[in-house]
Amino acid sequence: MQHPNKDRLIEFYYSEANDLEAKRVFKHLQSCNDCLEYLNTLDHITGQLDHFVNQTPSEDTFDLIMKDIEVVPLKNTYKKELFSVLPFIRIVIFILFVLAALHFCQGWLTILPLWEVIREYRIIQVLGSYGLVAVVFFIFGSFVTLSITPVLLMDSERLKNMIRQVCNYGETK
Amino acid sequence: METINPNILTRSDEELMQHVAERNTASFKALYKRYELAIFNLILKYTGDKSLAQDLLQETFTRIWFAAHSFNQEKGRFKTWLFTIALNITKSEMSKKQYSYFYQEISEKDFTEAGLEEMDEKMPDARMVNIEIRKHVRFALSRLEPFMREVIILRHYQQLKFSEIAQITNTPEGTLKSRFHRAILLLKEHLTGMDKSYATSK
Ligand SMILES: [Zn+2]
Repeated sequence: MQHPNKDRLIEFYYSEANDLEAKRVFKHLQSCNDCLEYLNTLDHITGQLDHFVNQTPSEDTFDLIMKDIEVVPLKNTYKKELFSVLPFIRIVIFILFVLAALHFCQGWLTILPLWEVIREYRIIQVLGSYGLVAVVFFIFGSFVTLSITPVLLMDSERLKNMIRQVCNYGETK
Repeated sequence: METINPNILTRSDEELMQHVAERNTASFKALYKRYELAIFNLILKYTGDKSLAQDLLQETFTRIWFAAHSFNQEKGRFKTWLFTIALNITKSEMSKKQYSYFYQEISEKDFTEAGLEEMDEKMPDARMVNIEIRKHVRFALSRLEPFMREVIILRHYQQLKFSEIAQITNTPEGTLKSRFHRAILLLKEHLTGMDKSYATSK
């Protein structure tokens, strides 16, 4: 007699077999005590397992989670703010700060003896003291940005990896 | 405790997750309420340790909150994702602290308290028998290799299909079924003799 393998019997037991397979196993069981015995064992053991009943976690668990994520409980964020003036205020303050810095630096530049020498050049005449300070700012800013970019990228890579590890679909160890 | 808007309760897990990604705590709470029992008992049955299960349940949902934006509905259902995270956290904790020993050292209080109170008054003998059976079952589960315990918990207790378990554990279905079969044989071995002992005590 050709017995269905254990996988088929387990599928049958948990109603995971397709109709055709289920019928085939059912028919086989009418005449096979061995397979019937296996299913009885399965039923008996899983029946025993059911004695390990579900328990409930403590009631304050959700509050502890909320504490972990540091948000006010049940603050409804469905309504997204469509318009906020805050970013504009920040931009204006930033521009004012840059202008003040430019003004301050060009003041210093024009009293340096070096200024008397370089002001003869045509390009400096075109730029003026403000233009020159702006160019220096730009070069310095680019230099700083380029130097810290790899560090920032490295850090976000590490972060991405961490998230990937936790949220993989069982792909990584 | 705050009540949850009944409107939210009818939403699918995936819909709620979209709101969680937008930092909606009401949706987050609805998801938590939907799955707290499943995840708590998944971890409890895996580790055998109630307070650890409590901590890891908390950690699981904290991670869900922070990783909400990375949930991709097209890759799979929320439930599968949640179980994957819970199981990964549990496994990594177990491997860190080698909890396989710990499983057997749980205090009896842990597994005698739930569901036995009403039985206590009516049938004190039945309560004793039940406690004995539970002890045996927990012992038998603790004797299984974690990868066998895992498939028993996910298929039998959590009622997940083998195809879902395959996704969660990244293991072929055939392997899972043969693990399940081996686990049943081992459980049978460990639980043998238990029937007789409590049949006579009835
Ligand atoms: Zn047969």
